[in-house]
Amino acid sequence: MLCSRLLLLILVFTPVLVLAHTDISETIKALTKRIETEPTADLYYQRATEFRALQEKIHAIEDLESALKIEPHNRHALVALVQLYETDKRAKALISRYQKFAKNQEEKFEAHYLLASHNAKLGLFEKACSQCDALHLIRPNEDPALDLFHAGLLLKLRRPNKAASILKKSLTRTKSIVVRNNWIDAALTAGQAKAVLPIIREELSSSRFRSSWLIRRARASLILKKKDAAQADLRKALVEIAPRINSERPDFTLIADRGLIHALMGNKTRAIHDLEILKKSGYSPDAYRLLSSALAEQ
Amino acid sequence: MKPLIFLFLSSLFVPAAIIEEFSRQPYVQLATSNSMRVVWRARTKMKPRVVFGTTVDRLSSEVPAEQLITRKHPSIDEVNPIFKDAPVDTRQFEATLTGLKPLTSYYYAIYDGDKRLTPADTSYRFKTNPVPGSDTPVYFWVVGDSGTGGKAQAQVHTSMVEHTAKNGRPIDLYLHVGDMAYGSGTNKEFSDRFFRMYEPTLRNTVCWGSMGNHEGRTSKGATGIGPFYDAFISPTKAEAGGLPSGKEAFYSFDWGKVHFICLDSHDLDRRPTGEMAQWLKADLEKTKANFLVAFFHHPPYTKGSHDSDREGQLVEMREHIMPILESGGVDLVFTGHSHIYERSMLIDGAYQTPSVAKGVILDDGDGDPAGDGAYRKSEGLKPNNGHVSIVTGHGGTGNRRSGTHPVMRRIILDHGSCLITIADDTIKGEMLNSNGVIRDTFAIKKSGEVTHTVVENPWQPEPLQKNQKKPTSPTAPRNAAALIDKNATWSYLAGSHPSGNVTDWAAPDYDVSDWKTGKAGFGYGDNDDTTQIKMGGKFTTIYIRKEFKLPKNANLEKLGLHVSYDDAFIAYLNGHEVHRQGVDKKQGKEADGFTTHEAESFEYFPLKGISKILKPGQKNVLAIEGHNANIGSSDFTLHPRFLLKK
Repeated sequence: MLCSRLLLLILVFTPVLVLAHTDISETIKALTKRIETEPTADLYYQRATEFRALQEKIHAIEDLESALKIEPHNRHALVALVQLYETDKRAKALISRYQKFAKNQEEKFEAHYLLASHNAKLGLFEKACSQCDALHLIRPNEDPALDLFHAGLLLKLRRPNKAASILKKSLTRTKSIVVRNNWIDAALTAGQAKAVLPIIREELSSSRFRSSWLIRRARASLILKKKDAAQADLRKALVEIAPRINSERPDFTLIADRGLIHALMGNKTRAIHDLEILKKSGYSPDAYRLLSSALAEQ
Repeated sequence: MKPLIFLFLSSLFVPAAIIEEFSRQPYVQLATSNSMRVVWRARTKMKPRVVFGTTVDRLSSEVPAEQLITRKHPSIDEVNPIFKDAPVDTRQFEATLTGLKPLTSYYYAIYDGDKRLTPADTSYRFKTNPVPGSDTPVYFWVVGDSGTGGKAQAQVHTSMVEHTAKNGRPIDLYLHVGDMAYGSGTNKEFSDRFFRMYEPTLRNTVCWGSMGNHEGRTSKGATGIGPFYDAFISPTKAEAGGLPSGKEAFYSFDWGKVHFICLDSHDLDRRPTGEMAQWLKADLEKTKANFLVAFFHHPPYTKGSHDSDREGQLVEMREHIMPILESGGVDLVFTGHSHIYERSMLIDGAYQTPSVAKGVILDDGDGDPAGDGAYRKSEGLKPNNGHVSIVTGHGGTGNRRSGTHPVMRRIILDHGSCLITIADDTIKGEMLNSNGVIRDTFAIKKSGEVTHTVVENPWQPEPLQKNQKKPTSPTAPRNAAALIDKNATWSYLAGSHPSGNVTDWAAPDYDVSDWKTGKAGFGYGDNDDTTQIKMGGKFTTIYIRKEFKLPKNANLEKLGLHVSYDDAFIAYLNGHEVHRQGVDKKQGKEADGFTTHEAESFEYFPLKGISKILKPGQKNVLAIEGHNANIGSSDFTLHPRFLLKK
């Protein structure tokens, strides 16, 4: 979520280079020619954007650094470079620079968001959470991205009650279906089965694919000590999910669901097998957090 | 002709209306089965009113004032402003027409107080959507990368309008896969390069938009702020079906039994943990439609002007989003960004980088009901049952091909768009070029239970031939005699293709008595052609042929073509192809993969190994098909000589 926010900032308001570029390599050649003649921060930034599209990170970093040498307060170049530095300590220095020159509310929010994100990347979840609290004060009606990010941090800190609380408030404000589903998952992690069961039942009665809702109902049943009901739902979920998984090239979100089913059913070996697939897939651990947690609890 | 059809046909040919009171002419948005939005802009104060009804001369209903909002420049309007790059005095009016009947045609008029601004014209109409889930055929248009405001864009639009008029079937809706307002999607660029270009269609047909990278320069997917989000009113609360997304950047809607999904491939998180992917998965779990169509800007599979194996957004859409779509049972995926038409075979599980054909092709036929037959899928939305991916980035800007994508069945460099019909159990897709020619047809029949196995050694598209090197000796030999000289008189066919198989016309005994005759060169533009052929914007191919007598003692290894050409040609001697220049593959109307070339001088191409096909002392025929790489090109030339080196 945060990445999308940062990427947005990179892409917005860039001047037109050409009417409709037809090839990134050609665009880079044209920019290089212009940079050789009259280098500007904006041209370096534009070329860095093209390098990023080609996933040529080293070149992109070089260009963004060149842009910031010309214009140390170029917001777009700075944000892009922080993102590319990832966990490198140079990112922190850049964020500090941004915090000093940020003037309006939008810039202050962005600089603070960058810092929270950077700390999250470093595993400093507590710090990142505090910064999210501050962000809520700067912009209380921010779109769900901040709430989802904040709740994710709280779940990593094993504070599902607070995560559920934040998401519930966000749901009231945004009506976002993604927030609602994250709230249900956080509430179940917090043991709040009764609060979410009515929605789960409604979704089960109206959905084409029911496996994710069967899993949620099974989690609720386990909280309510209804093991047999949970097992029955998990078996049904497994039957539905199997044909949806391409055995050679699966949708990894379904592998995460299948692994969770196995973990909740007590099939630890199969759950670990799915976890290994997910680890090899390169997906973010956030994509299979519930599976990891379920296995850790066993 | 039935009156209703006449009414429809007559309304199609109205030109773009310039009503002075409007700075952006009226258009319709966010159709549902019982409501519609009518949107327009003005730069003067007005007392807006919208009236509507089911007959053009009886507009008996009026939109209540509380359902008509006015949005202004942020310097004036702090609540719901339009983007700041619009002129300060701009007002955007958005009227919500409610209480409508499903699948019903309505006519509307816009007033300023008591003054009617729109004419009493049948083209100011719209049709509501059918009830979601109902069995109603749908016919829709898909365009991408069109927003230049240029001739090719206009021609692609006109081609669709004329084609649908000819067939007496209007489109029900229109999808745009992004880059509709080059270069930065500003308010002015939207007005000039999108609204003005498509105005006659937009006033009565809803265009559902997906943001391209060029619009992304001024509009933000996360916040829904920018000229793109002013132009398009998209569902955020499942107003037209699907699950509420909370964002205009990605959404879904239902049209009868078809579920449409629009995604933002440009500036939102494309990973499975992202908000968009989470919404997508939830939306796919919920839908009970029979057909599923997804559209977004960055193609997961392309080797056109962009390369899906190299570019991050394209790779991520393939690796992260396509698995979710396919496990949800997607049938069609439309994208743009790459300026080309590429249409895949029936594929599933093609997520690797780089893309390969092995293990992902479920049907390697051409999908054409008149060819290898329609692709087959199970009834309903069966996961991983195959889909067809279509890059339709050829809507108006310069086309380009950089390679050959292994999952593609058709690769065409030609301006055009896609027309899709979904009726009963079948999806039918056509690529209509800007000259009104159907260049590709495919179908997917969804019936019963179909189980696919992967095609082990699938058909593969011909690789892209690198540009042939220019001849080392581009000038003709000095000691050469002309068997056919400059400005010779040829038989020629322009504006249609010869009857018979694609090369029959080049055979010596082919009857060309109904062809025209003219002196070479043939073409237009540049003032370098003797016989003017008005092909610009209309067609791209001409055919010429001429008999010649070959001396008995001619040295058959010393013959050559000496040609001034723009852009490409294929030459035949007595029906046998002897040389091709700037054409990658196939011939005649199926020729494909053109390289542009300017007719700056005559170039010499020696012909070798042709002795067996020539008849010394007898009548022989040289036939040449000339091709323009782009229909919107400013010029074309074909001026051949046929030389015998002494």
